[in-house]
Amino acid sequence: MTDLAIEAIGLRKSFKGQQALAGLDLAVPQGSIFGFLGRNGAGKTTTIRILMGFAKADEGSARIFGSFPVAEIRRRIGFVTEDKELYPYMTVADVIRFTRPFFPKWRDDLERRYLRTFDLPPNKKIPHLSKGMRSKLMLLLAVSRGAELLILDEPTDGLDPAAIEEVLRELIALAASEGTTIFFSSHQLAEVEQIASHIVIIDKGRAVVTGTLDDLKKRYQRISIVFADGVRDIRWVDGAEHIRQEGRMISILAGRNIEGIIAQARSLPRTTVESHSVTLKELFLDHVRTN
Amino acid sequence: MLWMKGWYETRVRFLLLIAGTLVAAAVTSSDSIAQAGLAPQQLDATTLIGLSALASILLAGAGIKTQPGGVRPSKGLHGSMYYTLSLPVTRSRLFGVRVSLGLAQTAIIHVLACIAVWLVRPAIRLHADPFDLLKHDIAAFFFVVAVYSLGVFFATFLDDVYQTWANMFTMMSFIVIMNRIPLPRSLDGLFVLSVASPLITHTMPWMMLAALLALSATLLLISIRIVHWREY
Repeated sequence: MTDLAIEAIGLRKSFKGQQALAGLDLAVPQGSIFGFLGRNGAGKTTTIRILMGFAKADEGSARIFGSFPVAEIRRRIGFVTEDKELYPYMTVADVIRFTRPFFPKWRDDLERRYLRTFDLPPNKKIPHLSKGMRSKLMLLLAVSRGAELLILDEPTDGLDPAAIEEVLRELIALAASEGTTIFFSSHQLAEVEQIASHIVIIDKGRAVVTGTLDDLKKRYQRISIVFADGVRDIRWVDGAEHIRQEGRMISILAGRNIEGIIAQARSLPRTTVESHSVTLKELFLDHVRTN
Repeated sequence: MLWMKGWYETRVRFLLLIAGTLVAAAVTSSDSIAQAGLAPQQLDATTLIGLSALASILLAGAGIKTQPGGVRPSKGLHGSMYYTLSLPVTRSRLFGVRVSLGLAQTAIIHVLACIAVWLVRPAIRLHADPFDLLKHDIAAFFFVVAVYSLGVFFATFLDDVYQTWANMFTMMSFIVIMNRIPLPRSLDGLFVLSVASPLITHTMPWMMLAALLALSATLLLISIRIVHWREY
C-alpha cells in the first residue's frame, strides 16, 4: 500500500524531436492539495495526459495509487480537461446521466449540491454554456464520481473572481471532509497559494522546485544587497540559486546556506544587506526566468 | 451508456441514410415516376445495394474520437474525446461498442435496401429466384462489411472528412488495380456482385465471402491495435 497518490519517476517525452518532458519526477502524497505550476509549454498538460493514460512516456514510469494508469484506476480519479469540452449534443442532465453509471461510488448528494451551488441549468445544451459554466459542470462531474484523486487541468479557467473563490472553497472543503487528493495545474499563483499544501514548479519538462508550500516559504529567502559604489563581480558562496542585478542592487534567491550568503554580503565594503521571505509568485518567476 | 453516446453521435446520419434508401427505392418505381410526370429512371439491384456500402462508410467510427452529433462537425468534438478517455473503460470496449453500433446500423440499412430491391423488382425488371436474390444479398452484405471495416480502419487515425475521402480513394484504387492485375475473379467483390452475381450464376460465391471476411477481420484487428497504440 503506497501513501502516494501519484508517483512519476524520470518521465521523458518528445514530440517530433521537441522535448516536452526531460526526466520529470513527481511524488504527490495522498490527501494533499498539490499545485502543479509551470509556464505554457513547460510540460504540464503532457504530464497529465501521461498520468491519465492518454499518452505514453518515452522513458520513466507514472503510477497512480501504485498502479499504472489503466481503466480500473480511472474509476478512482476525477478529471477536468484543459479545454473543458464535453459532448456538444448533450444537455447538462444528459452528461450527468451518461457519466453516473461508470462510477459505482457516484455521489448523488454532491451532484445535487453542486448543481445548486453552481447554478447549472440541467436542460441547457453544452455548446450554449459559457466556458465558466462548463468548468463548473466538469468540476461537478469530477467531484461526484466519488473519486479519491482529482486531476484538474486549469480548473478555474474561464471563471469570474467570485466563482473562483467559490470553487476554491469547495475544493478545500472536499479535501478536508473526504480526504480527496487534489492535483491541479494553474497559472493563477494567488489561488495556488491560497489552497495548495504542496507545489511543484516545472520548467522545460523537469521539476525545478518541489515541496510543501510552508517549507518552501520558510526555506527560501530573498537577499538584497545594495552597493554604494556600484556592483562588483563577486563569486558567491554555495546556496545562491538565482542572482539578478538591478542597477546598484543585487538580488539573490537562496534556498540554503542563507546565513552564509548574508555573512558574505555583509563582509563586502559599503553595502546594505536585507533579507526577506518570498512569495510563491517570486519563487515561480525566479525559477522559470532563470531556467 | 456508451451505446447511448454512440447513438447520439450517429442517429442523424443513420436516419438520413434510411431516408435516402427509401427515396432511392421510391424513385426506382416507374409507376410513381410516371404519375409525377418525370422521366423514367431505374436503379438496378446493385446500385441500390451500393447505397448501403456508401452508408457503411459514413457510419464507420473509430470509437474513441467523439463524432459530430449532426451532419456538421460542431465545437468541442475533439476536446470531449479526453472526457471519454477519462472514463474507467478500456479502449477495446470503446472501440467495440462504436464498431458494433455502426455495423448494426449498416446491417439495418442493408436489409432495408434488400427489401426495397425485392419490392421494386418489377420496376427494375428483375426476374430473379428469391433464393438467388437472398444469396446475392448475403454476398453483398459481406462486401458492405469489408467496406465498413475499411472505414473503421481509416477512422482510427483520420478525421471524419478525410476518412470518407480516403475510403473513396481506396475503393477507386481497388477497382483500377483489379482491372489491371490478373487476380482470381472470385476474389473481386465488385465482379462477383455484378456479372458473376448469384443472380446469374445461381451459386454462393464462397471464395469471395471467405476473402472478404478475412479482409474485414484483418482490418478490424489492425484498427484495434492502432486504437491501443495511439496517443491522444
